[in-house]
Amino acid sequence: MTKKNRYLLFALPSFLAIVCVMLFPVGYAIYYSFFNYNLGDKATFTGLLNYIEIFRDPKFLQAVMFSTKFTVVVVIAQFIVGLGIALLMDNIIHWKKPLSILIYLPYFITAAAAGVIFRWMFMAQWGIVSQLCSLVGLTSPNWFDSPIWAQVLVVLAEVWQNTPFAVIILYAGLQSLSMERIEAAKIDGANPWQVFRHVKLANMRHLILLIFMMRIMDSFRLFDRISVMTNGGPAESTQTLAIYNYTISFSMLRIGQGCAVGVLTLIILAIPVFFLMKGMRSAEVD
Amino acid sequence: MQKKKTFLIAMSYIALLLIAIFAVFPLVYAFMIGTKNPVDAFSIPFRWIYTPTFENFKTLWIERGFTFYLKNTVVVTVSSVLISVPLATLAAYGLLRHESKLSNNALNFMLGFRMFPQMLLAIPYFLLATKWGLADTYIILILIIVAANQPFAIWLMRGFLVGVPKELDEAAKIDGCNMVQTVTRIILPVSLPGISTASIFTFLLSYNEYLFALILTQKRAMTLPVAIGQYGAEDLSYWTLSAAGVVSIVIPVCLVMIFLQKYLVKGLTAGAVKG
Repeated sequence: MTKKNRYLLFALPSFLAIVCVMLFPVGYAIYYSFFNYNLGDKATFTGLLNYIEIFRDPKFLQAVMFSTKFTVVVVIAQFIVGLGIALLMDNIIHWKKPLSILIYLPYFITAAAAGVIFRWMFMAQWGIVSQLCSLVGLTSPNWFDSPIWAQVLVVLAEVWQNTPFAVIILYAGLQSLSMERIEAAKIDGANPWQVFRHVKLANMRHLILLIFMMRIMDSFRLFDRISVMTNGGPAESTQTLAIYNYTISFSMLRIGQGCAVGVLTLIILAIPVFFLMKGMRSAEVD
Repeated sequence: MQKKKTFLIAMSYIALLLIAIFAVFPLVYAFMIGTKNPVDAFSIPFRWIYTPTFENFKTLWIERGFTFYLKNTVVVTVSSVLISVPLATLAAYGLLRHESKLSNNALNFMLGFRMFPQMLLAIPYFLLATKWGLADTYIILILIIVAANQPFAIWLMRGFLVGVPKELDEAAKIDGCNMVQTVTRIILPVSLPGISTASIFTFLLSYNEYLFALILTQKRAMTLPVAIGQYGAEDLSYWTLSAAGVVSIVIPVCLVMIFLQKYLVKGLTAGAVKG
């Protein structure tokens, strides 16, 4: 072994962990996605039957649609709100630390606990939001009995919890811009909008792509917070692909089909991630 | 012009203050419910002022045995951090120093592992754990968290180790250190901030983990997030008790945020922001 290759030995334990505990199970799942396998029964090879059955299930298509819409809405909202907050923080000098501790806090807390709190806040009658509504004379809807409101609330909870990620990254990006570049643009006659668009945003391109990539990955496969908040209801209106998959696999015990849903989730997710990674690489070269 | 600027800054402070209130309000609300007796919690209109009680915490932790779930969480979290962070540090160091196209691509691709849907992993974990008698044990949870944490931890450590000059390695070699000694005596001490940061993030990942613990644990190894997520779903008469549980699980994270905020921010930006 050459001296240089000995460095690879350092990576070996970690590499083994990834292969054994991530790649091997995924392979195992892909394998079983071609089997008719209900928990407790014997597995029989059925080719693509699981996939065909899933595509015939309107609930699957509904879950794909919901996960996609959810991801698009929350990721755009998190980016816009996050950029706004980062720009505000870039304006101020004092109290940065206490303010940022409070603003960043939701991102780090247990998502399941956040789900429980949001369920309480919008509980009929006793929930604080319902109470505030009646205080100003509004009759609050039965939040979690209405499909539209339930969807709005899971979006709200996701934006509340994960916007700080965008803030942290964008604020660090704004801080790392040199004052000289901004001043130079101003001397060249750029107005504030042009400075923002062509200096600040343009220099944070790879950070923006990173935010989109990480947030798309996490929100498209979201399980815990929604599971605790609505468990996919009412009438499957907030059922993400992960919750649909959980029901198929662990309530109906159709393991083979569950694996196929997982494989499809990965394939759908790989498309935007591929393009974002490519974009990030070219943004880094610039 | 100057006036306009002062106004803009003042507005920024006000806006940020409102955002901060919006961010912490749900937690404050949970704290209020958790420190109320049921009569106050269920009163209409909402009581903003009340005599706080810590009875709920006492009941939950001592009578309802939540210390058991805490113990499980502590065992899983501490083991995950102790195993995962050294592995990731070594891997990031080795791949960086190898300096080939292959190792570079491996580092770049690390974040791609994050896109694996947890359910795609959870089903095989469940099957294999049942088959090998690992269901409802610490070992399976720790294994999963260690592996699942590798990509992000490696990416993070790479962000820190990029800043460690190669000359340091060479100087150590001239002084007669072999590769292992170079790592333990030279590299580890200088990358301590990175290691602390990776440890905090591994702690958070393990502490907040829900889906794998939900599927793989029942009685013996159930962790706090699962216990609290399920306890909250029960009868509403337990409301103040489960609020006490939610507050308890959030408090350690708040403490980390208050005292170690610098590391958290650095951790998220180390791999992303250059310079």
